[in-house]
Amino acid sequence: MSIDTARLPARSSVRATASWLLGMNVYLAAWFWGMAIVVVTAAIVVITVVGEVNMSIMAFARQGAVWFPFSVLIAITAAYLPVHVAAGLTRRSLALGSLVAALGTALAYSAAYCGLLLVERAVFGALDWQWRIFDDVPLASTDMATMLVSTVLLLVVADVSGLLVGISYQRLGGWWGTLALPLTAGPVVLAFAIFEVDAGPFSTSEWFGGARPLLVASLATLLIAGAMAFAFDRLTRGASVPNRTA
Amino acid sequence: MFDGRDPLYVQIADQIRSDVLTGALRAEEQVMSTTQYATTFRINPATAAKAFTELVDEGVLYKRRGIGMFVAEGAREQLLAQRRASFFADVVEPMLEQARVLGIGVEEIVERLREKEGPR
Amino acid sequence: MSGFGVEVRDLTARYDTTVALDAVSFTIRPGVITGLLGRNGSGKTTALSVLAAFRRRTSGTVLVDGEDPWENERVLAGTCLVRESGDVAIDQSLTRTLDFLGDRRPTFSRELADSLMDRFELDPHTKPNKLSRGKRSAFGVVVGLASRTPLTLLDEVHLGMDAPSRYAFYDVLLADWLEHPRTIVLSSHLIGEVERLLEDVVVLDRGTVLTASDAETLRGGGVTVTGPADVVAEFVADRNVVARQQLGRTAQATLVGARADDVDRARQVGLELGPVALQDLFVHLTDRPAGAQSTEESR
Repeated sequence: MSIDTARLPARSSVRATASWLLGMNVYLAAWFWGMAIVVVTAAIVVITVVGEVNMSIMAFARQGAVWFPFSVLIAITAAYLPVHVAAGLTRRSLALGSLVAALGTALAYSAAYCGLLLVERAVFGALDWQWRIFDDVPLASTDMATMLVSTVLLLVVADVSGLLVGISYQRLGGWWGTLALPLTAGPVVLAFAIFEVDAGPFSTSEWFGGARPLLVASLATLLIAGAMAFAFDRLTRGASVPNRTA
Repeated sequence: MFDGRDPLYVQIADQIRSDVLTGALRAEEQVMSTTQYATTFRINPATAAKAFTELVDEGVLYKRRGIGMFVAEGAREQLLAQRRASFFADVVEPMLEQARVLGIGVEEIVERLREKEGPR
Repeated sequence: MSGFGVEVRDLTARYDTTVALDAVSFTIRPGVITGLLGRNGSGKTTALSVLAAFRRRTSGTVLVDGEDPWENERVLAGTCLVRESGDVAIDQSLTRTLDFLGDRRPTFSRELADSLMDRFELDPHTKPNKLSRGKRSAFGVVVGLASRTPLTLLDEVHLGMDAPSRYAFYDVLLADWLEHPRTIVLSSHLIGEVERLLEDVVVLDRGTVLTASDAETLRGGGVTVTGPADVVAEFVADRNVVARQQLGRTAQATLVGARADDVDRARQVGLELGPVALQDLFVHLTDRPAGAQSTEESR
């Protein structure tokens, strides 16, 4: 053998795993955004009755878009490992497939979020309402491209973090899994801070004299996501299938 | 079938032997394959194969390559001779031992046997 | 391909501080139905979990078809372990799980799976968490057999099934194995019913291998000696006695390791020899009070 094939899982099993997990996440995402549209529309209607709409309501769905797939991925990682290994597949293909699926999930949620913001802005414009983003995302509030980039990166961190939290509980058990949360889920909070202006030492907008704040923030987030992905990969490759008693 | 305490392959071999003795299996007749034994009696075919090996060694069966196992010419006569030879050791002597314990005399036994057999 | 062979040398597996397997060595012949027997907690599931790379070993060598199974794509694709718990997605219908396996496992036969689903009267649209224990076990059998992997490991799958389903399982196992020869390992602590299916036997006891041989040899190695107590005692002196019983002046001893001249010697002194069922032999071998390590006679 000229190529070390034992190191690299067949592309097909990674692809199959990724699309299987992504399919599940997209299905749940459809539910999530369906609910979000209903709730946001209802909120707008209520506000117009009692007062005046002067900011984006959809923007508040951002927190949900971060934490919902995060918790879904925690559950999927724990439940899917035994099924994957019992089907005769390697942990490598599970780790890579999960990471690809997390990336895809982040893109899907970000696209839906930004798409709905655009729709909302168009509707508000047509009704002659004021549309601005009142939230803690000043870096992103300037224009939609910045918004998209920052949301994608934030969600990548959140989704990889979900995978990492799931596998940590699996590997370390309840106690250590919880104690490791500052390391496994903490980076999501950090990523939020990175895209803020006044987050003290974490405000990347002030690093390097404030030049190119989005680039600095993006690189910092990617670094965090990369480190977590690496940790997830390592932990997954060594994971045992638990002795589940059904 | 096949639930005695003897090893299964011994029981299978005994069954084939007695089929040959009674004439249920004739010379040159094919016996069931190990696969048929396996599926019919829910046993591992290796067990049936072990019985066949024993019977081939004894000369009761022979193998036709690619076709199966067949009863050898003269197998019945051979088994009869063996059974006759062991009849006294396996049947008569234990009976005499038992009779001695019960205080039954040889004369009494012979008398009973004549009675059973009837006039010739 | 007639199946993967397995070679295990000095395998040790620890959970925290408990030693589940202690320097265990055995082989499983390719294309053979082997019984992995042992009492609860003897290490059967741990051994199978290591073979199927469900868990890592602590030390030792494990070769499946000549290679270490851990993260080995080729070997894992050819290995299927079915544990009693199932290891299938519990929130998905059985038919979706079969779709999934058909997609992932190159050797999977959907045709066999469907016919087994009928045979065990499983509704393809129910979910595993809605099934009774017996039906869940039956679904495990469907997954294990339909995967048709060169190494199929069935860990106590038949225990939850009722008698008719168990017999159906033995029938389909033998029939499909005859048609598609492969290595099958059945683990169990109840031997009576599966005994006839087995060609080889590995007996585990408290994390060690008690004995490993073909089933007939193991069975033939056990013998009961019955007769007057003093004659029996003399006959079995220096032998490996695993059980004794006495009724009045008649005694019965169960020996392991029959010798060629036993029949003649027994006849000379007027003792009766008898065979030992594998289940009885297994109970005698594994049912020893703690501390009595020696297999030699201990009165």
